[in-house]
Amino acid sequence: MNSELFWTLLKPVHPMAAGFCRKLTGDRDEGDDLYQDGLLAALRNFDTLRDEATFRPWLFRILINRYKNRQRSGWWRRRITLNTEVVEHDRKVNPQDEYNSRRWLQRALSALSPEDRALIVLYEIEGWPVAELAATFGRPAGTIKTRLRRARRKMRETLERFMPRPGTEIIIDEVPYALQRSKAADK
Amino acid sequence: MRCKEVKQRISENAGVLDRDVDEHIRACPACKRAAQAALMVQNALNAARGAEPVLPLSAVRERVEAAAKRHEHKTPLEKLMSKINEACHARPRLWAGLGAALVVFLFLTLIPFSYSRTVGYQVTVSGVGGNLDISPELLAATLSTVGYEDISISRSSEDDSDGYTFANLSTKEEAEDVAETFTVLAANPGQPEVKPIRENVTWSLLAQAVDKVVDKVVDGKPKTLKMRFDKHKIIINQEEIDGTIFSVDLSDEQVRDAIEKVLTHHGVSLDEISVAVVTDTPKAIRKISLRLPDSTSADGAKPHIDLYLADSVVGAVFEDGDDQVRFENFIEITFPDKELNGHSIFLKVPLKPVDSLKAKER
Repeated sequence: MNSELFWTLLKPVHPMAAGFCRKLTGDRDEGDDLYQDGLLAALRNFDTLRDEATFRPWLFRILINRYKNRQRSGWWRRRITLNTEVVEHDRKVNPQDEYNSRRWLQRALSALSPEDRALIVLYEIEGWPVAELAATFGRPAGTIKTRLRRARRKMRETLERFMPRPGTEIIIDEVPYALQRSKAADK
Repeated sequence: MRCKEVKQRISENAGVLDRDVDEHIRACPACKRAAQAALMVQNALNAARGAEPVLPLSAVRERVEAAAKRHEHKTPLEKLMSKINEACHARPRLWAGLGAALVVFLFLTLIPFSYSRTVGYQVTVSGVGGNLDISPELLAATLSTVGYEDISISRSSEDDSDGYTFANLSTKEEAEDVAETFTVLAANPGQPEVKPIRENVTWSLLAQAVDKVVDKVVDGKPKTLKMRFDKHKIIINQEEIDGTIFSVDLSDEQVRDAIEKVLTHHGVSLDEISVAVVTDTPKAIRKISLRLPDSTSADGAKPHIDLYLADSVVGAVFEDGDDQVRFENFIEITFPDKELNGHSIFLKVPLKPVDSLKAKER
């Protein structure tokens, strides 16, 4: 196993991959944990990489698979991650706004399957082109576009449910949340 | 513009609304809400863009290589346990299912339960008329001629009637057979009662189930076809067959087809037995021959049975080695047992010789 080559190839990808894991999990510690876990798996299987040019999609594929496995292993505890950690933030942005924005994002992402979640993070946040997503996920570009469209709609619908209606909101940490309404009430 | 179309456009172009959509959402609160949500999603995604400070690669490398080293120093057992642990985490539902299946299997195989199993059958006949003077020895000898050699028979006498008990019968069919034989032999046979002999055991549920299933499995044992002939019907394996196959209006071919259909229905392959039907018009006798392939069994039994039908009387004729002809109305045909590599036909319980048929045939 050529360990040095692995670390050399990882160097340019590292900030994006580490950030991707944090965004994917919605939690800094959990993201770092996922990243290290994924790197360990990648290092062990480095021999299976045939073309060094495909290192990035190969690594991300491993990270996404590890994430899927982690999500599956917690299937009985279906928790919604609410990121309340203190994060380093851009001084130009109001920390309260940034915090709220993260909470809404996690709320919207929690409605997606692990793979769709990875797709949205890579496309919308990391700015990957559809062609590279298609190569990483091993699916045609048309399928990727359809899944992105569906995922966006699902995120919108999820937030819609949580958006306050007049007289139904509650305030938590100065953020207004909609009280859960039953489906019958919505009808 | 309809709400569905508006919501679709909102999802696709969050934050950038064209004039039509804008006009619609001003008038439609539901679409306005959808547009707000789409905008929130877009804003949240925009806010998440950009690189945030991450751990330096050197620190990550140190941790990953330490973890890799720890993994390399694990004993084979630890590595195996680690792999199992990983597999369990990767497919928790699958492993939970397998675990549950294992628990159920262990429960079925290891936990014993009290179980009453049938080890044999006995036939009891009470209230047999006093004029029947058959000793148990004579009964045993009679039954041995029709294939039941190990039956234990006891007789009890009460006032002017006798009671008989036939034990050591392995199957219910055998017991019913013996009861029927006795009914034929005795003028006033009383009421034969077939009872299972039960034994209490403590077995696991799986062993109990296997025991029950094994009783039912006939595969590997010779197939038995019991045929009883009555005036207007054939009874095969206790199932009554429509008597229309005896109709004089039917052609020989139709009768043959009907019999073949009945045999096939009872699991008999037409490779194992051939059916021939011939009508002797002057004598008004229809002869039906059931023939097994040209081989004789180890016990020398004949490989064919002929049935004669005439004037709504049915009988079977069996030609034994001395060219004697006997008529039976109850035959049991045992089909090939692969291990024996042969065939046998057992004739059971001679009943009423059909003299008229015998005369006509001659």
